[in-house]
Amino acid sequence: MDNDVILSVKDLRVSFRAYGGMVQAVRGVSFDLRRGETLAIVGESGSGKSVSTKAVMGILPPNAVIDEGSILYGGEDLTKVDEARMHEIRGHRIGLVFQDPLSALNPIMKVGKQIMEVLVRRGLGKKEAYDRALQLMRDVGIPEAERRIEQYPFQFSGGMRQRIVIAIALAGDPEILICDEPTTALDVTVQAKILELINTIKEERNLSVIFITHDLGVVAQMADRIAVMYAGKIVETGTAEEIFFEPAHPYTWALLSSMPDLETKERLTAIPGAPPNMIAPPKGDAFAARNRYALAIDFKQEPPTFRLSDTHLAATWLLHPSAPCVEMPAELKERIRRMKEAGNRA
Amino acid sequence: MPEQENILEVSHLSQTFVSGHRGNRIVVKAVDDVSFSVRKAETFGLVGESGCGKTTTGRTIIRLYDPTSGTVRFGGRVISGKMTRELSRYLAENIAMIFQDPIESLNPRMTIEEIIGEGLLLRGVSRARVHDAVVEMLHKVGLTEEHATRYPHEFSGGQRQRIGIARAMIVRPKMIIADEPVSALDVSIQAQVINLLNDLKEEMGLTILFIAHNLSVVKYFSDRIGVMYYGKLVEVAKSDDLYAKPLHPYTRALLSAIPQPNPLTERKRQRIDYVPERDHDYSAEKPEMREIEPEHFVYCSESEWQAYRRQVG
Repeated sequence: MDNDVILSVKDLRVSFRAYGGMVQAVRGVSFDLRRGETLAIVGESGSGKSVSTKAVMGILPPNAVIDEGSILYGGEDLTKVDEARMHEIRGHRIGLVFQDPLSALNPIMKVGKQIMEVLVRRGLGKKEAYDRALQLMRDVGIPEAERRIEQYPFQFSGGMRQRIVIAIALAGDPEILICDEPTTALDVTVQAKILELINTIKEERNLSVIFITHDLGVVAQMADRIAVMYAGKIVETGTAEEIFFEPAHPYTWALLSSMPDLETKERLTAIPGAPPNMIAPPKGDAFAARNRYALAIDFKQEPPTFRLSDTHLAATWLLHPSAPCVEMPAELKERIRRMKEAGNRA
Repeated sequence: MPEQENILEVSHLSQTFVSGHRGNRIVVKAVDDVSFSVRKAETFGLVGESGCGKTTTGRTIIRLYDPTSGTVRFGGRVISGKMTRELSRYLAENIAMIFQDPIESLNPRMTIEEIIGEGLLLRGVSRARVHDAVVEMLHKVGLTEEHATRYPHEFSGGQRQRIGIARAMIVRPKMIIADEPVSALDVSIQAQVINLLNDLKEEMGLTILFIAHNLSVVKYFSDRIGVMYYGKLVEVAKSDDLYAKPLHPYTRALLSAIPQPNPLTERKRQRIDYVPERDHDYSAEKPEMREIEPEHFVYCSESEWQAYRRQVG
């Protein structure tokens, strides 16, 4: 295994027992997280992005089953370790920041105590833990930490609450930070500050970050590498530049061109239809039914993953040597040209 | 640009909410002396962050709240006065609303036909005619006749929003107030709904008051935009102008905070902070809405106004 790889997920399959059958939420996901990088996992709701990371943290709901695959971290397979060991890893080695800071915090416990809880479990004395909690609150940019450490979550604004959640995640001194849509519930100006904070602490502590989101703007700001998920699979991975400027999968094309940017004037190219029912996922490429570039084989056989560069992989039949030559849509090309131009100006 | 007919005129509108008991009454000025007008067949975007009063403004216009002060005129008629049965009817016929949360805004115990057709039934249209109108509307928003007998829970988020739009459109209103109509939807579905609203707007000559926090969507969708901050409207301009030359420091801060899907610019991005105490000195001169150049208004003091004028050249 590559020395740099800190976490490696291999062919992970997770399903949920549900009324009506097994929902195949994650269908063979593999990715590596390298030390010091931010890997963004992008996808719509139901694409399996949250479920994949919940599996890493060992916090899948009781009706979930890991059918197959491994999650290698520090020489251990996290799908096989017992709950006691998982408890040590979770929160200590891997920190988690959720979308909704209010429901991630205990409403009837002072925030200071919630941060100290982690520290005390790690064996710090009460006084030490208090001082450390205070320092953590300052680190995440909470003004008047001495006063606010005695307050309850409801006394904090959304952005400040998310800072507390980040402080709790950092209290375990983790090497990996998993952020599951950490700014979706926040206003743009607050979001900008929280994203800056995550980038700063990542640099300072040399963290590796898995960042889950559906917002491509946020991805552009945060990600070193990007994995695009659709219907329980990673359809394309690459560096941020590769995904934004040389996307190869039709779903990535559709995603990039479906949202207006500040210069869009023409009609949006919407993705028709809706994501497939994951109780009976379609045969072949799951995106085929919504894909205007779908080939006949897309409906029959699942595409293999093609390697475009050392870092850039895409699972689409369009990359097969005998596939017809299909270029990305013209409006996307135009947009990429605009993006590069704006990048040169900046 | 020739003077166009204003369909909606909001002047000095204020909406305060009072909570707490005697002794510690808390008065919140949700909307504070807001004035703007919306022209016929245009889309006016209202942006701002949560708590800035954009939703309250929309809800006060359609009289979900009683305005504390100020007047709202629609089609020349004052609609902010005493609520009468007749006024209520006038509002229902002319202004409809689309809500953010497509599941909370649909009654789970009514079929789609009942939900969409209710507005017509209340107006005394016969059931048979209502059915035809519902089917026509369903087709218009991209659903089919067989959907009419189903219940809201059987639909996806995007479809539910289409139902919400059909319900608003069936009474053929002159104006629609769309409060964050796409923010609860997935990225791939948002574009579908935006396109649908655009098509309907063109087809039916609708005027839309579009309330949202996603500035890229608002820019794409609106002809003119008003930016709200803490209950105040701080800047109004044509949407291209607002993005090309934002003047009010809050507008600049807001624009600088939007992440753009472009890794090249994002990594170099400079965010601007807005600190009202630092950015304005209103101790001597009181701020008010002033015109900087045609169609571009900023809430500013006299000296700021002069500075802004120099800035736009």
